[in-house]
Parts: sequence; C-alpha cells; structure tokens
Amino acid sequence: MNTFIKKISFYSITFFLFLGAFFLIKNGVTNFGVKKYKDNIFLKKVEYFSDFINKKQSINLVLGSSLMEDAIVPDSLGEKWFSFSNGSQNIYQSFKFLDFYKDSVKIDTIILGINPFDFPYSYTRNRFRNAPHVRKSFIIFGEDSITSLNQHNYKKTIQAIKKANYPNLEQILGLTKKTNKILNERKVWSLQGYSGDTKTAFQKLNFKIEKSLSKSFIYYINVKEFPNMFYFDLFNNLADSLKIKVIYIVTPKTDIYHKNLIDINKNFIWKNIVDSLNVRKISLWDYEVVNQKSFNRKQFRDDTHLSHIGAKKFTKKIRNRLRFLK
Amino acid sequence: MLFNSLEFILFLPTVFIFYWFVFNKDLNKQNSLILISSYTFYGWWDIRFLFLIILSTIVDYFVGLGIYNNQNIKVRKFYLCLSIFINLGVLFFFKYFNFFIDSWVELLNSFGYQQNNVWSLNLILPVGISFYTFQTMSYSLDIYFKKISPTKDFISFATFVSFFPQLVAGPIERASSLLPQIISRRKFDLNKSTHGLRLILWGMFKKVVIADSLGILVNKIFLNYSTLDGGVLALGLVYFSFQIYCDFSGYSDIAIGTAKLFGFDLMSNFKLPYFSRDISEFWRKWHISLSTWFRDYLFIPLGGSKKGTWISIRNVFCIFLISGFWHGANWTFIFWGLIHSLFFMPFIIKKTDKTNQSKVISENTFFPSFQELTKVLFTYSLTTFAWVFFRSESISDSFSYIYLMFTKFSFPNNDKYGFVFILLLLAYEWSRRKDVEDIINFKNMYLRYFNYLFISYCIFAHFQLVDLSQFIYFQF
Repeated sequence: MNTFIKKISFYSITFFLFLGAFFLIKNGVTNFGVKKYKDNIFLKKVEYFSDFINKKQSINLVLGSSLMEDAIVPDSLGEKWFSFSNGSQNIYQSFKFLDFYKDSVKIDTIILGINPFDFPYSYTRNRFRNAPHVRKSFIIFGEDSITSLNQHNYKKTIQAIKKANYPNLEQILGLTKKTNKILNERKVWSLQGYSGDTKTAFQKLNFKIEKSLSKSFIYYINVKEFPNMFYFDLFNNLADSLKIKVIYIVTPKTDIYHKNLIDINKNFIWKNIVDSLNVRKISLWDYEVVNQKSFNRKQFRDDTHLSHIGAKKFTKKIRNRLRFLK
Repeated sequence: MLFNSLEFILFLPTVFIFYWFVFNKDLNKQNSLILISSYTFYGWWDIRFLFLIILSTIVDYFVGLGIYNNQNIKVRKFYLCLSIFINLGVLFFFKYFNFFIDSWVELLNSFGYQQNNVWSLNLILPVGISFYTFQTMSYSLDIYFKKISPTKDFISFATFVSFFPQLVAGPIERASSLLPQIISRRKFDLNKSTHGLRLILWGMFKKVVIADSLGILVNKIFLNYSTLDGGVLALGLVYFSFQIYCDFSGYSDIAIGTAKLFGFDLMSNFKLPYFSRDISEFWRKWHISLSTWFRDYLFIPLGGSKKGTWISIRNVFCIFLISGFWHGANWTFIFWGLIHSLFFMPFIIKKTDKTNQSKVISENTFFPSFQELTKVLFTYSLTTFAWVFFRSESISDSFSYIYLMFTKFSFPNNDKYGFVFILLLLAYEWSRRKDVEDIINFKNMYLRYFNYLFISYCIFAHFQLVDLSQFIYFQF
C-alpha cells in the first residue's frame, strides 16, 4: 500500500507541477485573478437591477434571450425601462426572475421576446442531450431541475479558467477556429441593463456554413409539432396575477433563417406556436417576417440576432408603438 | 454521480481511504461501506429511485432463499416467476409503458380510429435500470438452474446488486463471479490497483477526450442531416460508431478499474470489437456481459443452435430483437436489433459463427493481411451502417439519412478533424492489440510515464465541469 500511495503522490505532484508551470508561463506570476472568468455580464445586471429598483417607484422590463438582448436598447424606451434579457434565457427563467422580484418592486409593463425554445416538451431531457437553451446563472434565483442541472457557479469559474489556459487537443493541433470571442466582447453598457452586441457586424457566410450555423436547427430542439404551452402559461398567469401588462414580441429574423426553417420542415411548428398564442388573449407583436428592405442583412449580425444598427431601428419601432398604445 | 464529474473525483479517493485504512480489518464493515457508497453514488442522481434497487434487492434475496430451500418444482417455479415478474414489471413500467401506449394509439389512429393519448405518463427513466434488473434476475435464475447457492448475508447480497462501479452501465456481473469475491476477504494488491488506475485513465481518455469531442460533431450532423451532403452524413456515421464505442467501453474500463482498486475483478466488456473479422466475432467482443447474458439465459434455454437450423434462426432472431428492445423503448432500437439478426443469419445457416475464434488479429505480424483488412473493413461497414438506426430519432429519419447519404454524396469539406481522434484511438489499440486488458501499460518506463502525462493532460484539458455529458448507455 505504501508503494502505491508513494507512486500516486509522485505522479500527482509531477502532473500538478506541470499544470502550474504551464499556467505561470501563460499568465505570468502576478495574474492569478479569477474574477474575469465569472459570468460577469449576468452578475453585473443583477447588481444594476437591484440599484435600479431601489430608485424607482415602478418599472418596466425587457425580458428574453439574446435575441431581445440584442434587439432592444432599454435606454431609448425611457428611464423606467430595464433590460434583464440574457443569452439563452428562456421563458421559464423569465418566470423565475419575475417570481423572485414580484414583491420587491411594482412592474407596470413587460415586453418579452418569444422564441421556439420557450415551448419545448422538456428543458432537461433529450435522448441525445441536445438540450434547449437554458441560462445556467439563473441558479441564483433559486435552484431547480431546469436551471441548475446540477451545475454550480464555482464549477463554471473553474471551467472558464481551464478553458482559457489549457488548450485541448483540437486547439493544440489547430483543428478548430477560435469562436469564443463574441461573448467576451459583450458588456453591460448602461445602468438600464443594455448588453447588446455593439461590435459584431453581419459576416458574409458561404451557403454551406450558413446552414450548419443556422439557429433554425438549435431553436427547435425538443419542440414538438404541438408546442408545450406550460412554461408560457406559467409566466403569463403570474404576470396576470400581478396585473402587469405584458407584450410578447417576436424579433425579426433574416431570410436565411426562414429558408432553413422550411428546408428542415420546422416552419409549420412555428405556425402552431403562433396559433396557440393567438387563441390566448395576449398582446403579440410579431416581427418574425419583416420587410427585407427595412431590415436587410446589414441590420443583423447573424441569421437571427440584430446588429447594433438594427437594434436602434427596432427599438424605435417598438417605442413608437408603445407610445401609440398609451 | 457520473464518473466524469468533480464529485466522483472526490468520492473515489474518500471511499478508497476508508476502505483500506479504516475498515481494512473487518470484511463486514468493508462491505457495508461499499453498500453505503453505492447508494450514495446512485442517490446522487435521484434519491427517489433508490427504493427500486432496494425493492429488487429484497425480492431477489428472499426469492433466492425460497428457490434453494424448496425442492418442489412448482414452488421453485413460483419463486422464479415472482422474481422475473417484479424485475421485468418495474423495467416495463418505467421504460416501456409509454412506448406501448403511444404505439397502440398510433396504430389505432393509422386505422382511422381517432384516439387521444390520455394514458401516457410523465415518467423518468431510472438510470441503469436495465443493468441492475438483469443482474439480480441472473442471481435467481442461477439458483433455479442450481448453478449457485444463495447467500444468507443480506449486506453482501445488497452489495452485489448495487456495487457502484458497475451499477448504472455494467458490465452486468454474474452472482457466480462477483458474490464469492464479496463474501471473501480482500487483500490490497499493488499490481491490481495500478492496473485499475491505468484502466480508469484509459477509460476517461476514451470518454472525455474522444467520445465527447466526436459527440459535438455527431450531434451537429445528425441534427442537420436533411440539409447536409452524403459525404458529411457518412462522416457523421463513422464518428458516431467511435463515439458510442469510446463512450461505452470507456465507462466499462473505468468501472473495471475502479473495482480493481477495491480488490474486485469484473468481466471484460469490450475486446477491440472494430477489429472483428465477421459479425459473430463482433458480438463476441462488443458488450460481452450483455451478449453472454442473453446467450446463457435466453439463447441456450430456447434450444441454442443444437436443435436444427430453423430453431437456431428463430433463437438468433429473438435474441437480437430483445437485445434491440433492451436498449430502448423506440422502434429504432428494435430495427437495429433486426438488422443485426439479418447480418448474423448466414453464419448460423452455414454454422460458421465460431470461425474467427483466435483472440488477436494479425498475431504474428504488425500489419494485417489484405484478406484480414478486407474482412475487418467489411464488418466495420456493416456495424456502422446499423448504427444509423441506433442514433436516429425515428425509423423515417434513419431511412432519410441513408437515402441522402447515398444519393447526395460528395466528398466532405468540413468537420474532418474528428478523424484525428479516431486515428489516435486506432493507433493505441492496434499497437497494443495483444494486451487489450492493459492498453497503456508500455514496457519502456519513459514512454510509459510520458504516455500517462499526455493522457492525463488531454483528460484535464477536455474535462467538462459544466454541461457534463452523460454516458450514452445510461439511458438504457
């Protein structure tokens, strides 16, 4: 047994020394901070939101995924507006957020982005684990099977440090492109929670790559022919009970997205989702198919997300409609 | 708890220290520790489903004693049927209930009877249920067939049923092999333990580095298959064949290695199946613990291959269909089993299913002969073709995939880097094919340590602390 322990200890020490040396060579002796690896955008927004509600009698909210995050500039809607929309945030997580803050502040109006991944049969289960969008950081509003998926923030931090400092086999051999820059370039630009991507412009992609990158595939994971309205109703009923005016928004998409949707035969599912929403007495502002002249490819940074130029234009549209509504 | 998780990295040394340093003088305490650890390991996933294992344990413990203590054939049969009924009942309810209901409703609808499906239940499939129910059933069956005597020690029996290294994805152990090891005193063995660590390292490499890297490409290709060219689809299929192999054999290696750390020997589950020269050899090397289970408890009791060709054909057909169904409640798995039974038929008819019995391919040369290479490639092509049905979400998806693969073929331009992982795996396995049980144990000390460091680094760099991918075979 002693020999075994000695062997393991010797090997472990050698290995960790090797990892330590690797880290030092890459970062230098003084750069040990781990803060930069946390989900800073999300945490910053939580912090800004806490400050925001302390200063206001009542507020309006922008909720949803990165499609809303990139599409609406809350500052342009008015000083009462705060955007708590984040990459991969689904409607269940918007519900969690609302439930968490329902007693902390009076909320008058919410505009919430609707996407196919708000209607899956399950967020956690899939035969081959291609799970729909879930923003893991929502665990801070309470742990549950959807949000946590047994994952904790400290693990995310360690993972981020590891990823940034220890290249895997694909990276060592130069087999994959570096594509993780975009998220790091995001920032919470205003105290009203705007964190849209202001830098990335639409990239001219060749036809083949366009298809494999298309969101039309991943937005429909676990979404069946007849959508699951459970999570939608959960949110809508809570908002109703709190007497909040909710406007559901479908953000504009490119013609590429729509074409791919038809190719993979998912367009009828979207129709079923819209039909299911229309039978409910809700306000639905559907910009899914917009005039290609007013929203051409330059207004997008990929096939579904608006670029900063597009966001300004879209926010103006929404602002005018909100004014008309009042 | 997953093997490729931070929790397991902390769990394993903790149990190891208590096992060898605190409870090493008392066998009962060691077994109790393993039992508690096993329940913790399983309950980590979902504590509610522990009761199913406990139920299965209690039933088969008493059934085993009941069969053994009664000489009346009717009473013995009653006990055996009770065990089979409860174990298969639980398995059926959690795994197959919705499948049968959905299929029945679909059938009625196809005949024009518009029927709403109100019977489907929102059930969670308990992890590893197919594995431990088969393991406990084999205990009762072995006692019934008078191959073993039951144990009166409940803790030892419960440890046999829930032994954590192989609880959720095998190898499916037999009581005749594992139980005697549990009830006899274990001594720490340096060689066995270091061998165990090597197996864990190699298993982790296969799972974390190869299977998970290929899995990203496979998911992308299978999700988008309708818009991709045939060449990419063929690539996706090759990647999946290695993903599932590395995923499952990786799990088995970690399980066997972990068991060795505690002084146990589990059976081999994979012996380089993709170097097989025909389908029958493939099935002697792929998921060996399940294949032998079906052979011993189904194929042979049904008459095996000694009661004429037609009986043999029927038996092979049954075995593969049930094996397919065992893998999942979906027609795709049944179809996968059916295809393999068709591949197997010529060997049964010609009685050549035991032709390639020699353990190692190209035993005396480094490179295979042209004939061997052709046979290996042909066998690999057949098995890989069948994987389409295993991986696709539905039968129609499988056929569309195959149709597009052959009709839209063009040489793929993207996503070829997965081959690097496959070549790396093949290089290891081919060069060490004569020592399949200990692939990374190189004789040269420097080479061996360099290899350990290389593998450890790759595991470390590829290890996912978040978005942990499970083992594919957990779902079965």
